Amino acid sequence: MQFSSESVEGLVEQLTKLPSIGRKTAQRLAAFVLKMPRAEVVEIAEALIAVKDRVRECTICHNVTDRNPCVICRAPRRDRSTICVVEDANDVLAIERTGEYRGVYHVLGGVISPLNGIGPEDLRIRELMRRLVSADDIPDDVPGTNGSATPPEDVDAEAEAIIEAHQAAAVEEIILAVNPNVEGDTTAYYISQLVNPLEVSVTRIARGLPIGGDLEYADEATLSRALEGRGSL
Amino acid sequence: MSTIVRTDAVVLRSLDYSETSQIVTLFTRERGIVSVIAKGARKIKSRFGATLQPTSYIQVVFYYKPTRGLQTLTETSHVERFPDVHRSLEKLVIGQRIVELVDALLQEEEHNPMVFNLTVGVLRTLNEADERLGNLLAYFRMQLATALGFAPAIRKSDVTALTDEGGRLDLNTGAIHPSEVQLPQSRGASRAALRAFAVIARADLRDVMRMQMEPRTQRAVDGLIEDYLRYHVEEAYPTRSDDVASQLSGAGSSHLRG
Repeated sequence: MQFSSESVEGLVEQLTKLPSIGRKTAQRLAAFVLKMPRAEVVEIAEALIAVKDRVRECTICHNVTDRNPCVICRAPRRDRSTICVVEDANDVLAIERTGEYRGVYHVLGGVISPLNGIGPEDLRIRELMRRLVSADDIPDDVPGTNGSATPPEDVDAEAEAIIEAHQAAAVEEIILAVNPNVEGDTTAYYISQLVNPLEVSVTRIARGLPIGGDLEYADEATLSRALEGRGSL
Repeated sequence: MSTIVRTDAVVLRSLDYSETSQIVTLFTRERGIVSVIAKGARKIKSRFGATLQPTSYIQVVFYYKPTRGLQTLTETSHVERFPDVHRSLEKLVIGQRIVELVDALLQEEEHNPMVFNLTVGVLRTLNEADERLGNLLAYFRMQLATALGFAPAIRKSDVTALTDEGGRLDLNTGAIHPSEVQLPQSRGASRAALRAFAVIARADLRDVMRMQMEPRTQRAVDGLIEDYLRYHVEEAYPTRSDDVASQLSGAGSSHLRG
């Protein structure tokens, strides 16, 4: 079933390009857009374009940001000696929502996945190493490029000072906050093998039972990890 | 008309689908490779828990409908856990290479209990082994070749007749010949590498795991096995995890590259 309007049909086609949106959902969304006031539709359209035009990558942590460096890397009260390593920008949001973490981040841009052909050279692992040691001290067999040693041209003097302060900060701990699955495990072990010789503490977020879960229904692997990671009261 | 199937399975791969689901490729004991949808598998409180990770050996229950390409998974539980496979980079990568080979070289719904038992046995040994993990991957690839119908035709007399000059592996038959024999599809190798190739093809897993090889010989044997497999399965030979293993091998994991 197609709309009698080419414009609406075009909108449906565009909406189906989004993840989890099938043709039926796209048709419902298009019908909803038709009923919206024009001003709201303009707001949505402008927000979509602004995301593409204004959002860039933070030079330090590679999180998405409107202003480089990002607001977290700029914050003077964040603890720069602790770096939380995450898979993507959504994970930064998830950890920030806890309100518990006061350190800074490093966004890898994915995880190592041999089955999908994604290796360390596809991720920002060498960039992570550059936050720990100088480019000359990174082992040659760590895949990837060193990138530019100088701050990018589009940042002001204040931003340059922040980038330099991050480079000068002595990192004491790397927290690996990757998902508890085969790809996450592979990534965590690879990074820990690289970082361990640098006398930087490498930790990984705990794995085990979710709050509100029931022991009776937990599978053996999850329960076993929960027992391993038990803590004293 | 759908039927309920309960069978043992090894998880070959999982692919995120929609908001919380996963499409999981299973190598089942009874029906070979089957793709299932595990609804809600990515939710924190999913009933599937950690069972759908690649290399897991589990029991599954799914609704099977022959006209459907994707079956619906309803229940899973561990048959046997291999926790140590997830505790080292080397083991993780070798485990993923094993399941990648099965996924690539077997046809969908090809009932093959021999390969199933081989896969479970090799994953069990991977979980228990502390050393010579490269031997394990080599053994698996050779046994897979045998199970798929192209076992190398190795004669003991050919192996014992090898001189210091080395010899040639006939990629078509898997037979070993003296180095002076001219063959159109063959690969030259040292005596040590060809002897190791023959042992891995003929010996049982316990003996193969006792076999000590120089790193140079190990690389040569891996090259022979790869060429032999590639000759027979051609484009189906998977290379993704191979490429990633090459990148990872710099982090102090010498056996990752097979």
